[in-house]
Amino acid sequence: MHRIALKTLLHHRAKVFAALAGVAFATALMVIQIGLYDGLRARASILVDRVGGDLWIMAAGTSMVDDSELLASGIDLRASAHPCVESVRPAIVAWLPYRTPAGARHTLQLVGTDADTSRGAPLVPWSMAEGLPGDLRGPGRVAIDEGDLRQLGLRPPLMGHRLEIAETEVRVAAVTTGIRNVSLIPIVFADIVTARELAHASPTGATYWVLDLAHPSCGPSIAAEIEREHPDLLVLTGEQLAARTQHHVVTESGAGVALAFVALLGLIVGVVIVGQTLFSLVREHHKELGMLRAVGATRGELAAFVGWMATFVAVVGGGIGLGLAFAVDSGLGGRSIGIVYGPEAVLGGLAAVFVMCGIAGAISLASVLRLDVVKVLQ
Amino acid sequence: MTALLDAHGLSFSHGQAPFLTPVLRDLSVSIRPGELTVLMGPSGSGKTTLISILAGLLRPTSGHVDLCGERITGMDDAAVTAARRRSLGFVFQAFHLFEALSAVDNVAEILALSGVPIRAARERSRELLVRFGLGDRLDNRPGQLSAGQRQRVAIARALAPNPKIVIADEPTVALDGATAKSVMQLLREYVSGGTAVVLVTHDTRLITPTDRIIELEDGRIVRDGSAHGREEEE
Ligand SMILES: Nc1ncnc2c1ncn2[C@@H]1O[C@H](COP(=O)(O)OP(=O)(O)O)[C@@H](O)[C@H]1O
Ligand SMILES: [Mg+2]
Repeated sequence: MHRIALKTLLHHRAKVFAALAGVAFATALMVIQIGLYDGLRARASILVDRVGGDLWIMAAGTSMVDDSELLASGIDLRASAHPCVESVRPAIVAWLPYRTPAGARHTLQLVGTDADTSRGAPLVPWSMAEGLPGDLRGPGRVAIDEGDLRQLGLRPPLMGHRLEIAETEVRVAAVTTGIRNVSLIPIVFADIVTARELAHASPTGATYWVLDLAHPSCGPSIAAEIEREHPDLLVLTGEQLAARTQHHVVTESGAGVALAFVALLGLIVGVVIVGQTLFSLVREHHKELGMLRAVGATRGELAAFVGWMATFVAVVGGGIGLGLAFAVDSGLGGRSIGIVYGPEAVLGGLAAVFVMCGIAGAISLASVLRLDVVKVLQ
Repeated sequence: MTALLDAHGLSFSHGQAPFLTPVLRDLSVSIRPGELTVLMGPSGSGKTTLISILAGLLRPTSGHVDLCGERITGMDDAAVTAARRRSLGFVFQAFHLFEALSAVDNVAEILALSGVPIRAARERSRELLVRFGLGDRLDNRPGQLSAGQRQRVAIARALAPNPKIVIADEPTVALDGATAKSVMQLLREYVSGGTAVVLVTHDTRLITPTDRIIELEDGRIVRDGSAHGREEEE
C-alpha cells in the first residue's frame, strides 16, 4: 500500500508542496519557539551555572539571582567553620547607575566574584574577547561585553577605556563576548574587591555566599542549620536557584505564555494545512479506495493509504522544518538572541510534527473508515 | 456442478421501518463455474444492490449468501473481506484506476495487496496486459489511455489474482460498440476457462445464445434462463 499511497501523493504536486510547506513552517516555528524558550531559561540562570558551588546563601525572599540584596557580614565565617564546607566564595550581583561618556544616565548589572581563581574556583567571566578573568584583579578594573558598546555609549578600542559606574571611575581591563542577561541591560564584571566598592558594600560584604562542600550530601543539613539560625536568609542549591530564576523569568515576563502561544499557533496552522491536504486527497480518491475495498482490501489497508501519506509529509516536512530552524539560528549568527536547540527543542519539534500529521491523518482516516463502498461505486 | 455463489431468500430495503423502501424481494440465485450470467433489468430494479450483496459489500435484510461454500452473511467485516479477496474480481463501469500509477502498476499493486511479491506481480501483470493487447501501453498512465484501453487494464486487474468469480457492473457503458465487443471477448475467454462472470448490462448486442440471462424487475427475478430460450419465448 505504501507505493500506491506515496505515488498518489507525489502525483498531486501542488498539494504535496502545500502540505510540506505547512509542516516545515509549523515545525520550524515550534522548534524556534522551544529553542527561544530554552535559550531564555539558559540565559536566565547562566550566572548561577557559571559560578557553580553546592549551596547559595541569599536574602530570604530572593526570587531570582539578579534580584539580590547585601547580606549581613559574618555568615561566611560561621559557614566556613562547618567541617563539610570546603570553601566559601563571595559574590555580588547588583544594579548600579551608569553615566555614559556623553553624560546620559543608564543602569547596568554588576557581577563581582573573586578574580583570584588560583584556588580552583570557576572562571568568571567565562567568555573573553580580550584579556583574561585574572586581569580584573586590582583596583578599578572591570570587564564589559563587546555587544554592549552602543548601550554603554563607547567606541573601540575598549581596552583601557574609562567608565563612570556609581559615581566611581573604573577602567576596562578585559572584554567579554556574547554574555547577556535576560533584560539585555549591559553586564559588567569586576573582582569582588572592586565590586564591593562600587556597590557600597563593606569590605566583607556580599549579596551571595557560595559554598563548596566536601560532600554534596551534607547540603540539606547545612542549609537547614543556617536557615534556623538566620530566618532572614535563604539557602538553596545552585540547581534550585537556577530553577527558581528560570521560573521567575519565564512567568514574570510572560515569555513562556507568549512563546507557547506562538508554538500552538504553528501547530494549528500545520494541522489545518496538512489536514486539508490529506482530506482532499482522500476525497478525490474515494472511488479508487472503494474499488480497493471491493477487491478485498481491508479497512486497515485503506487506513495505511492515509497513514503512509501522513508519514511521508511528517518525515519530509519535519526534516525540512528542522533544517529551517537551524538555518534561522545560524543566519542570526553572533547576533543570536539566544536560541538553544537542545534535545527538548528537537524532540518537541518532532513531537509537534507527529501530533500535527497524526491529527491531520485521523481526520481523513475517519472519512476512509466510514466509506460507503456501494455508494461510491454506483 | 456445485455453485460458486449461492444466494437464498435475499431481501433488502433502504431506510428505517416504517419507512422502508424495498429493493430486493425474496430473491434466490445461484452462480456456477464457467457460466456467463447476464443480469438485466430496468434502471432501479436492484441490479447493483444484488451484486453488492453477493459480494458481501452490503448485508441483506434477510436471506443469506454462500461464497465458494462459505456463508459470508453474518461474518465480520474482516472475514468477508478475506473471502472476497480469495474469490472475487470486480470490474466497474468507471474503471477506477489510480491516475498516479502506470498501467502495469494499476494491475500489479492490487495483486501485491493479496501477498504476491511486487516483482512477481509486475511480471504477471505485464503478461496479462500484453495478452490484452496493451503491450505498447504498459508504462502509460490511465490519462494517456483510451476508454477501451483503460477498461482492459481494469479487467486485467480483476483477473490477475485468478478469481473464481468476476462481477462486472455495466463495464461497457463508457465504450463504443467495437471496443465493448472486444472487452466482452476477453471476459468470455475466461468463462470458457472456468471462471464465472456476472455481467450487469443493458446492451443486448453483447449477449450470445449460450449466456444465462437473469432479468430483474422491481427487486424480483422475472426470468432466468439461457439467452436462447429467451429469444424463443419472444
Ligand atoms: N441509499 C439509498 N437509499 C434509498 N434508496 C436507494 C439507495 N440506494 C439505492 N436506492 C434505490 O434502490 C433501488 C435499486 O437501486 P440499484 O440496485 O442501484 O438499481 P440498478 O442497479 O438496477 O439501477 C433504486 O430504486 C434506488 O433508487
Ligand atoms: Mg446499477
